[in-house]
Amino acid sequence: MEIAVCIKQVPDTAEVRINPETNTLIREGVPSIVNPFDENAVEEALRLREKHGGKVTIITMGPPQAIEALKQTIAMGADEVYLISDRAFAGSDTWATSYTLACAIKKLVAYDLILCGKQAIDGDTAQVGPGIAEWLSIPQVTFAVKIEVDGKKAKVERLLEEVNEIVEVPLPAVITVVKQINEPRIPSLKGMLKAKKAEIKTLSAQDVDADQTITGLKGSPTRVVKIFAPPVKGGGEIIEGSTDEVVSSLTQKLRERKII
Amino acid sequence: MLKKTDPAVIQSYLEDSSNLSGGFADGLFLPENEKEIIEITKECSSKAIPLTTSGGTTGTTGGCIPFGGWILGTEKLNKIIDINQKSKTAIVQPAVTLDALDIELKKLNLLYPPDPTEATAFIGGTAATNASGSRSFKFGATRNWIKRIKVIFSTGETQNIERGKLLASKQIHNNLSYKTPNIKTSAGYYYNDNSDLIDLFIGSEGTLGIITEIEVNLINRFHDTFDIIAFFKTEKDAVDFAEQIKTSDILTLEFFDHNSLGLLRPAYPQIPENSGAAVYFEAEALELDQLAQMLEKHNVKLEESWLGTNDKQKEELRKFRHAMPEHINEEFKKHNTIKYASDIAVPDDKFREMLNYYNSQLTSHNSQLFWVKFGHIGQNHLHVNLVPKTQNDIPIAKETILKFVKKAVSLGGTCSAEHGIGKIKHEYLQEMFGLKGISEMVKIKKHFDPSRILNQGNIFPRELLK
Repeated sequence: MEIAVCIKQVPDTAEVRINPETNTLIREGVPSIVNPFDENAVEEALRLREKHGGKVTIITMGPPQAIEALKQTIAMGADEVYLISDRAFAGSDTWATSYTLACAIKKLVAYDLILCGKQAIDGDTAQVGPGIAEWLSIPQVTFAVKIEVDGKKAKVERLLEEVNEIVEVPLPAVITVVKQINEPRIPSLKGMLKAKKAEIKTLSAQDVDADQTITGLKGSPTRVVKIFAPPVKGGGEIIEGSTDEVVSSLTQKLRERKII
Repeated sequence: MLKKTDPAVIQSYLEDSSNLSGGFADGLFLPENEKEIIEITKECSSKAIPLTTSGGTTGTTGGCIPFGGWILGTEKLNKIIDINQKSKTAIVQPAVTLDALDIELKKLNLLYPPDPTEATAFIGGTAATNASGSRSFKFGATRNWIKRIKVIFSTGETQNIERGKLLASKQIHNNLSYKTPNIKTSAGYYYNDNSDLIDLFIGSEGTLGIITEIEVNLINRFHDTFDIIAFFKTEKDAVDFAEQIKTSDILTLEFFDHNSLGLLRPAYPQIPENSGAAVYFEAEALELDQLAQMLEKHNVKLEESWLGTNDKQKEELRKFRHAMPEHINEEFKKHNTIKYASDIAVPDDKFREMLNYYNSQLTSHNSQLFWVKFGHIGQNHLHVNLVPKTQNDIPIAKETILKFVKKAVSLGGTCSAEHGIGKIKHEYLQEMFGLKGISEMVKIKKHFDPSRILNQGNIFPRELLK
């Protein structure tokens, strides 16, 4: 079974700072990690390989430093990894990114299954996985919390807000996973030694046969107009006193605000 | 000043991690400044009311649990007074928790190295008990990092005690014959010919005075560390490896025996089958290739060794380490018994002899006693925990630990390397220092606390104070 997993390198913190002039992330001084949901996707691919045999190929699109993220997946046990990196990709939105990744997958993997995290923790769009499915014209299942592969089809349990939904999907397909699906393994020392020595193959737009009118800023129909931190919520008020005092004070306040 | 006598409030001050029961007190003081503490000590001294200082109640030997008198809760004294980036020092009040200090230091890229496992511990408490953590392998116990303390005595007098200013022997005027061994230890008052006065107070378990201010040394935080858990076929392989890696640049070195791994396996099914023991260590600047060779030489399969390089992975591995005391404490609870555990450390060249003794004793009796050996192998300091499953096992557990203490003492070791004596290990301390040593410690106590009201029952029985 041939599995492709798409990953993204993201800043390792919720305290991301934004450059107010360019509206882009300030990445200096913030350590980078594999997007946590993508780590779950890698783990799930490794587990499926352990069960059904085959190969796990990891693909990321990003700047040269994304090599570190790929090495992390080698340490976990990935078979092959590719960095898709080209100046022509700069400024890609989710449309251009999913196109580029779809090109790379088509070129590099005889895929039975494509796994992604449900979204990246920096952009939170959750669009790239579904976008890849559209570019490749194959089915997609999002928010998977359980995947069972049986020959040419998969049974997938989706984690929705109120209920879980079980769907069956023919393969190949794109499946995006939530963090509840598994606990990513801690890399082994053997894996890390392999990762340290690994030479990472880097491919350009041309290498993956990407049409350069659809990649990068030029190929991106969306523009980020503004990024800003939401205003901080004010602190709550603690009412102290005896039970009777607290109750009457609270009801009075609620009445003043016309809540009751 | 805040005083409380509500039994429900007092109840929460009658427990720590020792499972010691029966504590009681008439009331609780919650002073907000040193002036109030001086008033309290004067009042209690004049009326001979026992006064037990209480911090974060995270201790394991009942040190903060009162048996009569009043409690002095330090919790309102929780300010970080100063962090000096230039001199790399911090001044804190006693109720600042390790966690709270770390949050501030993180912002300045500084670190207070002592890392007692319980991050909600008060720094005052860690000073009073000379607490250790897994990183004490590299950095030593709390005492190594304390520069100055401010102490209020039961007389109401205040003294700033600064490291390097006064020898303990110059203060006591009595000729003392006992000496604290030169190993990791937290057993009785720290004293030898050239020991500093400050070290007599650090680890004195609140019996000499009340610490109201602590100045500590800091270092720059380090970032490029990695953590490894390696699984060995046999205990001997693990011990051989630990002995070899000890000389490298590592921060922690911890051991888990076969039974420890068995206890953890339900929560960690990925623990390799047939593992005889495991070693956890945190390293800085170690060549992975060399390390891999060293591990393979001791029959470790590299694909079965876990490696954490980023914060999330390191946190996972640390959780594994911390799961050990949690799981064994659960066992004690499950079998409805107090904790029977050793806290012994011995000199480097005696560790194997001690380990052989543990094993021979643990396998010699015919009972259902369950045991685990785990802990700080880097400092020759394993916690042997014995869980009695039947009533018949209880005397065996007690007797076994006492035998361990006797053996350790005969090897120049300590009965308590980090947990202190508190109210539950008097017998062991007597094994270590003899009646003469204990009576000398009582003299020290009476010298600094003439009214003998402070933390009665810690280190030695209160009857000796008469």
